[in-house]
Amino acid sequence: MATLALQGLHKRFGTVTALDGLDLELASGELVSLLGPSGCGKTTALRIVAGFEVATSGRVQVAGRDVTDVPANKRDMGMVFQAYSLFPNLTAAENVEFGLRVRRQAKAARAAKVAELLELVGLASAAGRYPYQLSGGQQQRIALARALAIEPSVLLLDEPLSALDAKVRVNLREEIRRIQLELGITTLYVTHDQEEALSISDRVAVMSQGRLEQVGTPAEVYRRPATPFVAEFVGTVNRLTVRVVDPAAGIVEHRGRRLETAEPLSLTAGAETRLLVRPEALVPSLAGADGTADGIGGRVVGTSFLGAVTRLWVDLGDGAVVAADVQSAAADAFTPGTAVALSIRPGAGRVLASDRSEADPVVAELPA
Amino acid sequence: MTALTDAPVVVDEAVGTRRPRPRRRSLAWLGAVPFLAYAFLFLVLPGVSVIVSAFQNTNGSFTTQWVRDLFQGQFLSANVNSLELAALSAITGGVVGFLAAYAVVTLGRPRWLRSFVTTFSAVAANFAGVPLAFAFVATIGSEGAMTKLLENALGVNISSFNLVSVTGLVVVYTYFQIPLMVLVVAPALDGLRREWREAAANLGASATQYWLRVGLPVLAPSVIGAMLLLFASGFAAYATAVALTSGLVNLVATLIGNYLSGNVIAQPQMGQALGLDMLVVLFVAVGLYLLLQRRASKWVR
Repeated sequence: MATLALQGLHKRFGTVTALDGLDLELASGELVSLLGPSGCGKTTALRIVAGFEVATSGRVQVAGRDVTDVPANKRDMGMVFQAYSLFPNLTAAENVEFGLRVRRQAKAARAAKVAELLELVGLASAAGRYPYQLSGGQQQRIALARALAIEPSVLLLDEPLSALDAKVRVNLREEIRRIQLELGITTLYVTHDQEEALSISDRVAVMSQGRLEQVGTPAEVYRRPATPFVAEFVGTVNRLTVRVVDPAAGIVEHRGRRLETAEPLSLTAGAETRLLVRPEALVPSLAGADGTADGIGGRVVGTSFLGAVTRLWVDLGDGAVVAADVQSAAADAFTPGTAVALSIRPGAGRVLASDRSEADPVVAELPA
Repeated sequence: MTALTDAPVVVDEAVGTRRPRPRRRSLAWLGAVPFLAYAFLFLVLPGVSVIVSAFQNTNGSFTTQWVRDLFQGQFLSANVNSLELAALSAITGGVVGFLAAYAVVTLGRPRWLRSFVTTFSAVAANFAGVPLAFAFVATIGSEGAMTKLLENALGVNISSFNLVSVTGLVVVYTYFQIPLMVLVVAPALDGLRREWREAAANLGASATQYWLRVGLPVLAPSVIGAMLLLFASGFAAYATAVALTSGLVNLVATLIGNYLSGNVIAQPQMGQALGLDMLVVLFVAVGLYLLLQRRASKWVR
């Protein structure tokens, strides 16, 4: 399988800059997700790689070969679109066979390949059905089989699950990952769904306003966000206004309480900054009868059941509301109005050098 | 205890139990009553009357004479002329209209172009009869402005072109067939998804391969269906043909007019037989159109 390199990609649509110098390399057999909000340029990047858009500047290389000026139908890439991309006049099998017919492969070879791929995506029994006779999830499986039939050097997926139901989405993303690992195909996956990106990717490239904010493994991006944007876009994060006490030791102070951050700080002692803490790193405990406890004091103002965990919304007393997760089995004790003390898991807080305290200390919005 | 029912079920918020909600009969169908009554009185009843009368003798007894006459002499000739006129104007208008609609739909810019073309088409598709005939006579008739201009400016003589002929009628009918095609086929072109073209390219297909294997097969039912409508329109058009040819070109529509207005020997049954002839052609054309539309809508839903 081939490597894929996006080098200095710029794309402008009139006065709008969709891509502003995108550099990204995919190793052979790697699955990298381009993750970002709508309009961040991720789909534009994918379409440039596929050959459907022309970059204003920059290059695209596959296995060291420059394909920037190669037409889309000569790029040897497989692509799965958001939805509705199956040819409606062809059956599932004929859709999968399409690329092989175009390549004038022998009939027997085509039939064998189609059967193999329909088996791979678990739809051998749907070979004779037309797209309108298939569910959304089945259509996307067939689209995946069709893209893989031509044995592309690179597989491109443009939000392939966005039009599907939640349960189908989870099943299919796992299926996509299984097939990708089985075939070892280099894959660029575009999504705005952070859970999707984190769950199936070797690496995640977070984009904002046409630029890469961070590229790293799902754990790196989640645990060590490089920018405030990444911290907020990937998962939920609380921001606590703190003052640096001992930069070398990574010690900060919040309301007179010393907190240990994940690493040494590049800020000077006394500087005010913000500490980023994930909800699962904020540990709530019941405050004593007098309302005091060892931790940041607050009062539960709302709860959200999320399945295994329940998210508590805790008012710190000055209008700041933070999110803290507790195991759902133990959540009954934290009803709205309960006084709690929040402690931060050692080393779980993170200070970003670029994240000066400019705004109010409200760190996570209470859902309406 | 909850009874099984196929009626919609709602949750009673007060007690949390389920109770069947009575079905409400919609009165929306009342809005269609005037139209249905009108269609029954002036389409269905006359249609039945035409069919019955076409098989009745002057004394009211059953006969197939009138229908058999349709395949002889001037009636056969009228059928041939009408079919030729309908087919040629449908094909010409269909092809030109399809290309125009394709250009407008795919270009997308300037934004006003689509609405302009649609509005113009809606008007032009209904421009027929005496005004249309006059426009063509005044433009490309033997003394028409364009005829003179071409002759004087370029030395091209088109005065020998006879508007009062099947070919002349094809040219004139094309004027309303093109916009009719634009109106009918534009929605089908809208349904042609960009993803299909891109997916085909991604799989290695050239533009030609895409059109041959996907684009045209998907559009075919709609395009052929639209051309069948044009065919029906061309076959049944009356006012323009009469205004332009004064009945000199033998067509089914003009013959019906002649028989019903008493311009020829009073044989209303022959007129009814010709009416039946036209009904059959229109039913076949519209029936095929509906079949093709069903197939097209199935693919693109």
